[in-house]
Amino acid sequence: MTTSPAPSPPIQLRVRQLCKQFGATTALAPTDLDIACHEFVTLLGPSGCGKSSLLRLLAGITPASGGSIELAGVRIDGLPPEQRDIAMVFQSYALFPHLSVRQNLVFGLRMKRVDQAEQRRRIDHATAICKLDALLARMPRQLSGGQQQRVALARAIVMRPALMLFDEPLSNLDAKLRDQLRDELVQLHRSNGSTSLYVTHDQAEAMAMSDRILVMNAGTVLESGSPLALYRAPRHAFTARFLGQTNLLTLAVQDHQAQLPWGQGVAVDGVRGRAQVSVSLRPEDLQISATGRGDHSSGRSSEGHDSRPARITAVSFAGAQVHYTVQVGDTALRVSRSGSAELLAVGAAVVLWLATPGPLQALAP
Amino acid sequence: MSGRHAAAPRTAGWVGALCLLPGLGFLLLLFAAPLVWSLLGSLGLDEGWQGFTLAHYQAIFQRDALLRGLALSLYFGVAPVLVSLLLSVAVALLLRRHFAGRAWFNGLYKLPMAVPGIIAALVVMTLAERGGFLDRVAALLGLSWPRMIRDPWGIGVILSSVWKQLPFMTLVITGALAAIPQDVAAAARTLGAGRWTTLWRIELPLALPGISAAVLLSFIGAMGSFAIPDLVGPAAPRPLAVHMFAEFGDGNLPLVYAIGMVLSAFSVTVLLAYYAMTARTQRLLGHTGGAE
Repeated sequence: MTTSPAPSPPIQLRVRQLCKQFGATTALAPTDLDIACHEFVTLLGPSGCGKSSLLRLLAGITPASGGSIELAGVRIDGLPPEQRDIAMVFQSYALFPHLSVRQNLVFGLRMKRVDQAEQRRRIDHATAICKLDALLARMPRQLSGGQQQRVALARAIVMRPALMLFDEPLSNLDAKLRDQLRDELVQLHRSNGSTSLYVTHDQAEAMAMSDRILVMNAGTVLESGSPLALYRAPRHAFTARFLGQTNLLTLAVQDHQAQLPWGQGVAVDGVRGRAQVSVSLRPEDLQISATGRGDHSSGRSSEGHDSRPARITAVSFAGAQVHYTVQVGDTALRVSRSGSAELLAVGAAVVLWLATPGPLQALAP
Repeated sequence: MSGRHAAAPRTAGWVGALCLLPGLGFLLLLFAAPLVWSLLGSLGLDEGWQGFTLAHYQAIFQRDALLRGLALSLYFGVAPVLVSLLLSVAVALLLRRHFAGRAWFNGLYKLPMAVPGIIAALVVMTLAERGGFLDRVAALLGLSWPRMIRDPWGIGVILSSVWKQLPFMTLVITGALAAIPQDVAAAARTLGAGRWTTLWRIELPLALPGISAAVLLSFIGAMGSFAIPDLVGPAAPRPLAVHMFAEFGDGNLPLVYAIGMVLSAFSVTVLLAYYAMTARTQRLLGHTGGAE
């Protein structure tokens, strides 16, 4: 029946037209989603964009309004959560407060009637990788937030599910612990290769962990791609804004050519004829250099463009980087430079230019 | 820690005691004093000063009618609560679901809480007595209505008590179930537990403090209830509360006091057991209790 003998890894999760309505509000517009075996995919979006709803529909905690879900080739959208072979790690940890750590871990295995020897093997394994050896006899309330989340993670791991769902598992932890657990999660994924769908609103988390990111907004998946591709070449203004810092400019394009506010000419792709389009300029792709004090003539950049004068209006020192706000005419732009470069002062006159070669991409709104 | 600070708590202590007086004094005056008075009275140490005696307590545990009364009081405490418990858990579960008229039901089911026990007994009496409403309906269908009022099994008492307890227990149990984070139940489901297993293994254990509070308070109320067994209970034996009323009518005050003390002792024991049990659960679940 399948037409292509695809050499790429088989599809583990196939979602078609899955949607959720709450009365008149759309929590999730009809959505298609494919996740390959062993892939780590992140759903990234602001709170309330529908990413958690999508997870809950997949887990079966919330009934879907329509669409289909196939896991490892089997339709599961009609099944209750306990029959779906999907484990979920919750933001709130959702440990069973009246059961010890060990009882929490064994709960799912008992439910799935895994035999005793196998139970012990899996719990030993999960306990080792989640570093819970010393905590097995404790009650959840005797654990710190990070430890509780490790237990929640181990409780999902022992299930060896066909799909692991993570619902912002790190967002209740403090920054340092979050970074540490994030690295551990990545390690874990590399070692056991479970197919994972991870929900977060933290773009740094998404970029650091994922094979692929799906950007969501207002109940819709806007676009998907590798962290690098989405960062370097976003197709939507929303993606450009949400992933990292950016400058969104509106340019008048004619025959793929446009002029930046400081006079530099650039090529623009993804637009025909004459149009006004948005483009994204990353702060680190813009460069500035000081011109002589009192030099009111046009500066000359290293690329030789005539440049309108620009002025630094704000400086924020962040250690590894320095963030500048640079004013050119009516346009204020963020520019970041290495922290080891010479520090420029507020009020300094600078020459500004875009250093990246290649055409800019016209963004969908 | 320093001497300057040592004086402050002492003053604060007196001020604190004074501030507590309206509440505490109220309790002492209206609760502790009558209790002590009853205790003294039951021991023969009230105004008559007959001298210390345990005869009245002896009477309760030796006179057949009173001993059976004690057993009946316990039966009238336990039996309705068991029925109410099953029903109220069922209703609480029903109230978690969405159904047409849920808002109405949710408002109306609480009404019987405002109705005194004596009215509850009268309601059950008019409904379930021979020649009552249900009997006549049954007769239309050619059936004979079983005896439920003043019957030996106290079915009328159980029905009336359940009628009265159900809203309160449902209210408390609904609250206890609603306090369980939804993610915890959802986690159990994703780990392979079905709806009923999740209820039995996760939700009911977590709701246990609320459920046991509802059970114990209802038990105490039903055990000491007078109006319901007097109206719809069997003619003999009679529960202690009814004996108490009868002895009061005969002016046998020391025995009345002694019966009151025995009933109170049961209630207090039950409450203490409840405190001990919840203290343990609270420690387990990590709720912050008042006591240090």
